[in-house]
Parts: sequence; C-alpha cells; structure tokens
Amino acid sequence: MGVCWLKKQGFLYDLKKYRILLLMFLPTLVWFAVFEYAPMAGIVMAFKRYNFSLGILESPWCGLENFEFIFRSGRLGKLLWNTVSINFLFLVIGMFVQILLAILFSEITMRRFTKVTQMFICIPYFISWVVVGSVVYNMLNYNYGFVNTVLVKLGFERFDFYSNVPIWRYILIFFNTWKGMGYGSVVYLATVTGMDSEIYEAAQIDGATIWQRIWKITLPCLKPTIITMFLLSMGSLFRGNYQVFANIIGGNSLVTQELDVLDTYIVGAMMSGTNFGMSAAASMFQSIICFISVFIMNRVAKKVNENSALF
Amino acid sequence: MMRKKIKSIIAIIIVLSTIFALVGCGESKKTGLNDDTVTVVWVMEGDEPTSEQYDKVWKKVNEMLLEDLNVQVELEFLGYTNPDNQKQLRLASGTNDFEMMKMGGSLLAQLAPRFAFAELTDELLQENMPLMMKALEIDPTRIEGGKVDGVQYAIPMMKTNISNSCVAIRGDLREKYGLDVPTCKEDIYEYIKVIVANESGMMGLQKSLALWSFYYQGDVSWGALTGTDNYVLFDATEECNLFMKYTTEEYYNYALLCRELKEAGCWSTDAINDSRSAEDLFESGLTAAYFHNVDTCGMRAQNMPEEWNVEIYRFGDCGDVASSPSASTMVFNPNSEHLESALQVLDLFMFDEEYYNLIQLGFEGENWEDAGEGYYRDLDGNLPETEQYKGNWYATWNLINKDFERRNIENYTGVNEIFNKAQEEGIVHPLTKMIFNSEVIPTEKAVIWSEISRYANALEFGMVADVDTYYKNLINALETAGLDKFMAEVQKQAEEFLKN
Repeated sequence: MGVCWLKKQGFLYDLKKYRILLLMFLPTLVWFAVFEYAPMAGIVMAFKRYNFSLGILESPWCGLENFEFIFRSGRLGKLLWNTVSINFLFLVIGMFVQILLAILFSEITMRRFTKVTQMFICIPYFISWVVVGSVVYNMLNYNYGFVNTVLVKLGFERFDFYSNVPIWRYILIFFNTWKGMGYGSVVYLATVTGMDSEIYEAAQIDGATIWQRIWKITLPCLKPTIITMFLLSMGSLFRGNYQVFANIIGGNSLVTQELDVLDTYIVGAMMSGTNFGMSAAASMFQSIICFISVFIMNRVAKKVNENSALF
Repeated sequence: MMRKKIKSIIAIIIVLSTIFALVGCGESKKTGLNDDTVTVVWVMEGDEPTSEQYDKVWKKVNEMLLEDLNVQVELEFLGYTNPDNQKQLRLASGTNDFEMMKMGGSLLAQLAPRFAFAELTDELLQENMPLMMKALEIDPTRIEGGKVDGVQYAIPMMKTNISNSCVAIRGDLREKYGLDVPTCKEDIYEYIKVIVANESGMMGLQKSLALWSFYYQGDVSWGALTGTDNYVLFDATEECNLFMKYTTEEYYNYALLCRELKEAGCWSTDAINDSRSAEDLFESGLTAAYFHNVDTCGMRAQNMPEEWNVEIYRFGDCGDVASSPSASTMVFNPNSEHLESALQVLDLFMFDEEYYNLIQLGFEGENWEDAGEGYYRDLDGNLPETEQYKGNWYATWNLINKDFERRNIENYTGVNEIFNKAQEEGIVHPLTKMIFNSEVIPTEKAVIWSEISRYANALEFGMVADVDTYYKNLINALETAGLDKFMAEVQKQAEEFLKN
C-alpha cells in the first residue's frame, strides 16, 4: 500500500519492498566491506617500501623488490608441491570421510543415537588448534606420551615420532580430518536429508539393497554439492592451513624441512624480518595462485557439468 | 502482520548492534588531572606487578613529577606474549595515545630505518634532558647505542653490561655420585651425563640458546652485533673481524656436542616441541643443570631448597665481551604531542638519583637500605610477594644507569664474586655500540634468517644423526641465500661505523 507511489518495477520499488530483508542483509554487507574488501587496498604495500612516518600511501614505490625473497631461496618448487599435495590430501580424504559420515547418519534409524553421536563428532571442530597441538604433543611425547606408554606396556620399543619425518604427513592428515569431519558432514547431511523420501521408498519397494540405494540415489544426488564444496575448497589449495602446521609440528625444523608449506615458510621468514611489504607481497602471490586454481577448476567443472560451475 | 513486525524489530536490533560494535573501534581519550597536567604514557613489556607497594611507589613518583614537571606517568603493560609484534602494530597504527616505549636492539634496528620513531635532535636533548647532557660531558659515547645510521632514535641504557654465561648445578647430586668440583666445561657435561644415567625421571637440561653461550664464552672473546639477532659475531680481540656464527668451527663442534648430549639422553628426544621453561624445570628438580647469566642463575638458586646446595660456575680464560647498551632502550612516538614532557620524565628517571632509586628499588629504609660501595640490602625479601616492592626489573631495565646502579649484597653465594670478576676482565669493543641496518638488504636477510630457522634447531637439539651432511646443507643454503652479499654489507657498515 505504502509503495504505490513508486513505479511497480524498478530499483527503488524493490528497495522499499524488500527493505526488511535488505536490512537483515546489511550487517553482512558491512562486515564484508569493512573486513574483507576495504583491507584489499592494503595490497598496494606489496609494491612499496613501507615507511612508518609516511604511512601506506605516501611510502615510496619499490617495484617487485618485495617479491624477490619468495624466489631467492630456491625452495619455491618444493614449497608449492608440499602445499598443493598436502592440501589436496586434506581435501580429498576430508571430503570422503565427511560424505561417509553424512551417509551413515542418514541411514541410522535410531534418532537419539544419531543426534548424540553427531554432537560428539562435531566437538573437535570447536577445539582450538593450539589445544589440539598440545594434545598431539602429549600423545606422541617420547618419554611420557600416551602412545609410547601403551607401546611400552605392550612390550614394544618406544617410537620416536619427532625424529621420524615421513610419518608426519599422515599425522597431519589424520588430525585435520578428525577435527573437521563432524562439522564438515553437516552440509552433506543437510543435502541427504532434503532428498525426496519417495525415491527411497520406491527403490525399497523395487527391492534395492542399502548399498544400491547409496550408490544409485544418495551419491548421484550429492554430486552437485560435492562439486560445489570441492570448488570452494580449491580456493585454499595453495594456502596452507598455517594453524595445523604451526601447532602440530611447532618449531620442529627437522619436520618442517620436509613438510614446509608456503604459509609456514613465509611466516618463518617474516617473524624475524617484520617487513610489512614482504608480507603483503607473499600474501598477494598466494592470492594470485589461488585465484588461478579456482578459475581453472571452475572451467573444468563447467566442461563436466555446466550447472556445477560457480561462475 | 505480527510476524512482519517481529522481523522489522530483529532487523533493527541486528543493524544497531553492528553499528555499536564498529563504533567501539574508536580511539580512547586520555584525561589529565587538570587542564595543564600532561599525561605521559609509557608502554612497557611484562605483566603489571600486583603488589600494593608497587602502586605506592608509582603514586609517589607521580606526586614528585606533578611537583617538578606538572606531568603524570601512566604505565601500560604489554605482557610477555609477542610484545614485539604488539609494538610494531601500535607504531604502524599512527596513534598518539602513548609517548614512550621500551625497545630492544633488534626491533630498534629494524624499525628505525623505516622512521617508526621520533628523531631525537641535539636541540631536543639539550632542552629537555639537561641531566643526561651533563653526564655525557664526561663520556659522550654513552648514547651511541641509540643511533641508527648516525641518527639518534633512542636513549639506550647507560651501562655496558658484561655478559657472563654460567651454569648452575645441584651440589647434592654431584656429591652423591662422587664427582669432583668441576674445573672446566667438560666436567659439567660429564656431570649432566652421570645424573641422567642414574637419576630416574631427571633430564640433563632443558635445551635453550643459553648452552651455546656457555659453550663458547670464556674460550673466545666474541661479541654479538646488534640488529642481527646474535647471528653475526665479532672478535673483540681484533679491530673489525665479523663473521656469521654458523660458519665457525666452534658452531660445528657445538653441533657435535649437542648430538652427543642428546644421544646420552640429556634432553628428551622431542624437546624441540617442549615449551616448558628451563627455569621451572630446574627449580622443580627435573633437570640437573641450568645455563644462564650469573644473576639469573643466582636468582633461581635462591628459590631452591637449601639442601640441594646449588653451585654456580663460570669457566674459561678469555674475557667476556660487553653486550650492547642497545639491548634495552627507550624510543618515542613520532605522533606524540608531548615528546618534550616524555624526554623530561626520562631524564629524571635515569639521571636523578632520587627518582632512580625509587623506581628501581622502592622506598629507602622500607624496601632497601644502603650497604655501601654500590650495594644495597633487601629489606622486604622475606615478606609475602604481595607486600614486597617488586619493581618490574625487566620493564625498567632500560633505565639502568651505571652511576647509580646498586647490586644486592645478599645475592646467592658466589654470584657477586663471579659478576665482579667478569666486569674486571670484560672487554668493551667499539662495535658493541653499533646497530646494523639490515634494511639495505632486506631480501638476503629474510632468506638467510629463514634458512637458519630451518636448519639450526635440528642441529642444536641433536636431532640429526649425520651432523656432517646436515651442517654442509646449512652452509650451502646460507650461501644460496646470499650470505656473501650480506656479510659484505655487515663489514662495510662496521668499517664505516668505526671510521666515524
């Protein structure tokens, strides 16, 4: 009634009509504008020699000088390989376990058991990585750790986890998957729960077994969600989860020698250097690689199934 | 209709709470006692002491300042968690909500060339720090430690501190296993091995950098160049011989020793991930030895049971080298409106004996008494901690002035003797006061530092079985990172510094 003086089609009309929804959206918009988009301007620091008294805009330009340190060590190839390979394993194994959990939960008929289990399985997600790091240390400690105590009680030799480099790739994957599986399964569970139950009933009447139902109905229906989640995760393929590495491996340079990722290398170099320009350059370098990887994967998804692409 | 209204109310509440949250990010405003009184905010490291006596002392300091300068000092404590990062962000934010800040040499060297601090011109110092200028008439080099590239950015501590690396061991355990009084470093390593082999559940030591200092000090006279995180050293017996610590034969032998001690079980195989402090472990009887400077060893020994009979030793014939006065300095906010007042306050805190004693030791006659010849006697040491004047010595360390400094006459057995001997035999090299400007070659520095963090820990924790190969890899990595270029720049700056 109150909007009749405006044209029935047009921006102002829509603004007035959806004012409540838009108002509810406003905090999100403000959040993104203030904390996500506005700081992007700071990327200009990657090309400047930062001067405290002149500030970001007035500091002198220095070309690509800040990017040089990333390439200087001759480690870039290994860093990129470690970052991509470990993240890819995090992603694939993590997704596999999350989907498996979602399907398991959807198939369990005891509702109370499902809810309690689901709650417990989500708890690790809310534990800080700092705490997880200390749990890992207390589990794997050579003298007093839980694992070694059990090994000794069972008559085996102690196992020196912290000097055994290859095993850490699996330890990282294990804890990353454990921490994210409960929370990550929620998205898939929501999709499974939203599926039309009539399809399952029809399949059951036709004599489909539980495996056939999962294979022929659940997984194909989950496919678009899986692709979308995969694409979204691709954005961070070149961005190592610093928290995992810093808190689980810590300062163990024997392990970081082999499992260094871009983030840990950059933080390691910057912690002693306190150079804002280099930090911005490293961050920009990562963002560009991440953008390219998302772009390529989106193209691939578009080729496979047009509806699965993000843009 | 009702549902629509509820939606509107929820939307408005969300929007208002977002706005209020963002408004909260504003700047706080300082208030003085009256319109003329200036408040000087001093940002310091560490935790705020909770004793009543501490508050009483600072109340008195402010009363005196109000009378002398019409100024009040407000203390702001950054805690011990990443104070350097906090300081940088505070400086980068460009706020004017503080006047002065305690600054270590390493950060001073990194931030000064990027103009993070107020420049202290001769004119400013002459006008606002008359007591310091008078002291400088006798020795004008005392403020050299606050200069970067010839520009005065900081007021350093007024003392050349002779570093003396010592070890504290358990006398009761040494006697229990029939070991003689140690006469050299090898005896200490042997003591540690014996204790580890025989005392169940006890480690030799909690591995830290202090073992390296103990290893080389006394055998050579090396000093560390400020601005290089103690990675670049100089030989104090020569005029200008600088080198990277990792390329020395001593470091290679040290890596071998670390491997040997680790193999003997002197520290846990995963000590590299153990964040427990060396002090706590030694005090609670979990380690056989503790390495640090003599005063800290003495302080720890005093807290331990008497029957443990803690013994403190320093070995070697070569004199220790003075550490840089830039290790602890005061810098000033370039955006502060009260720079002059801050300088005047610092002048009194460092060069007026009454203020100096009050801040460092508390009330004379109540907290301490004069014991003559540069010593004091602690009067409240036996009181509960909440009733003592525990000046936060770490926070006020940069105020140390050798003209007024007093040592506790009742320090732990042997501490004052070792300290005095080290001071007598110590070497003060001109390079002690130099601050290296690494901003000239930031890329090389970043990569070299990164390689060191990657290799050195594993070597120093004895985690590497093939020390030879690993050490060679470290040297190769440093060379690839541009070590030659870096050291050439270090040498160039050092020669220029000595020339001037």
